Order: sequence, then structure tokens, then C-alpha cells
Amino acid sequence: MLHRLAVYSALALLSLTAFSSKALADVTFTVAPNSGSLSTTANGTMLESTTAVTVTVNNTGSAAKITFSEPACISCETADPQGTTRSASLTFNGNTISQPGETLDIPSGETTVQVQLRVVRPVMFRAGTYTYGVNLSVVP
Amino acid sequence: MLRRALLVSGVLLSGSFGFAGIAGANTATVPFSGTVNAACTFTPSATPGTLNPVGTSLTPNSISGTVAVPMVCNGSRTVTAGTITPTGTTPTTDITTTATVGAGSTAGTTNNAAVTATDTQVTVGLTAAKGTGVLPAGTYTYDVNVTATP
Repeated sequence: MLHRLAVYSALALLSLTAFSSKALADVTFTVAPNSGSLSTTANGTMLESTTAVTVTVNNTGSAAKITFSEPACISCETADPQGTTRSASLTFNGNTISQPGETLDIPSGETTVQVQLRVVRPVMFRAGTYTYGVNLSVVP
Repeated sequence: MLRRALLVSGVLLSGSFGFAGIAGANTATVPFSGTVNAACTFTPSATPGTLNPVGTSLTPNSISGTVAVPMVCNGSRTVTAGTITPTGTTPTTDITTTATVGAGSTAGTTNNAAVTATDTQVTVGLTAAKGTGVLPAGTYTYDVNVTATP
């Protein structure tokens, strides 16, 4: 019985190890400062990051690929109306991606990527405070 | 035995899928925040408002008129009719001008009006009056500066 259990466990662990190393690199993100600043344009229809936010990427595995999803409203004075475009860009080592789903190659070790965001509405933003977020993730 | 091993491995692998999906280390949300201040954008027509003699006298001592100014505001502001500038050959001697502004389609009675994001226009009124006597014959043209402030 113990022999069988040991064999099962060994097989399971081998499978897990194989799966984990192929699926996702071991990457952690650190956002500093905690958030970026947005400013509005003169006609009041666009919010854009004033400076890029630096994200430290600590990749303890082999080379990894990271991507981002379409920015989303976290807390907004008014909801985005139809026709709003939300975009972001990630830059690392001179390479920039600006479409959700595109990937950046990140080497092993600690690196930094620059993140920028822009939201354009078909009408003026109502006066108030707006917070949008860009989700970064590692892809297999 | 092999079948059991595969079964156990499969169960554990399913668990690992679940773990990988919820692990936070491989994802991060980068927040951006900003404040939008209230502002108004005015789009005055190229066609000026018309000034007409006040009253029925053929020799009026004042003329007055209004003009609608379309606008878009994203919050509450105060619209003020400020500097009045005579242009062209407008007579200016002993003539006093006053401007009023109102939200909507009436010019109001003061030089300022509170507006909100739902207002789509202000109406600006202008009066030019001779201090003594009648207005001299001529063409009277003025520009009125309109501003929106907190």
C-alpha cells in the first residue's frame, strides 16, 4: 500500500513540476509609485497619464512573456459612454506594445517596464475623480 | 495500478490548474488616477446678436439686444459677462455699456449666472446708453467677453 502511494505521489509531483514550468514563469510585479497620474486635455474629452508608471518585474524563472488587458474603470465619476476608447502601452528595453494581448519578452532577473494609459470619450468627462487600471499578466 | 496513478495525477493536476489561475504573483493591476475640473466650452455663432432701439422713440438714448451662446459644461460653473469692447466705428463718447447673462434662453438681469452640466446655452444681453441726449447715428458693434469660473 505504502509503495503504491509513493509511486502515485511521485508521478503526481513529476506531472505538477512539468506543468508548472511550462505554464507560467515565476514572475512578480511591483508597482511604484502605487499609482500614476492622469490629466485631461483642453477640450476635456481625454484623460492621459502624465508620466509612465514604472513596474518592476522580478522573473525568477526563465524568459517570460507579459501582456496587458484593456484598461478598465476602477472608480469613475460617470461610466464610460459608448464610443469610449481605453488604451495602454507597455515599454521594455525600447520595445513597446499597445494592443491588449500583444506580448513583451522579459528576461530572467529583475527588469522594469513602463506603463502608460489613455482614455478618450466622445463627450467631455464630467467633473470628478477617475481611476482606471491596467492589468498585467504573464502568458505561457 | 497505472490507471490509478494516472487518475491521481489527473486529480492533482486539476488542482494545480486551479491554483495557477488564482495565484496573484503573476498578475498586477496598475492604477492611474486623476481629477477632472469643471469647465465650459462656448461656441458662439459667427452671426452677432442684434441691437435695437429701446422703446418706440425715433431718437432713442439706448439700444439693447441679446444673443444665444451654445456651450457645453461638464460641471457647475459661474458664467460671467465681462469686458465689453466696442469695435469698428461704434460711437463711444458719453456712452455706457452693460452686459447681462443668463442660463438658458433669457439674458437675466446681472452679469453672471450659475450653470450646470445640463445647460446647453447662455444668453448674453447688451445695452448701450447715452448719458445725455440721444444716441448719435451710426453702427454699434460690441464684443462681450464671457468666461466660466468656479
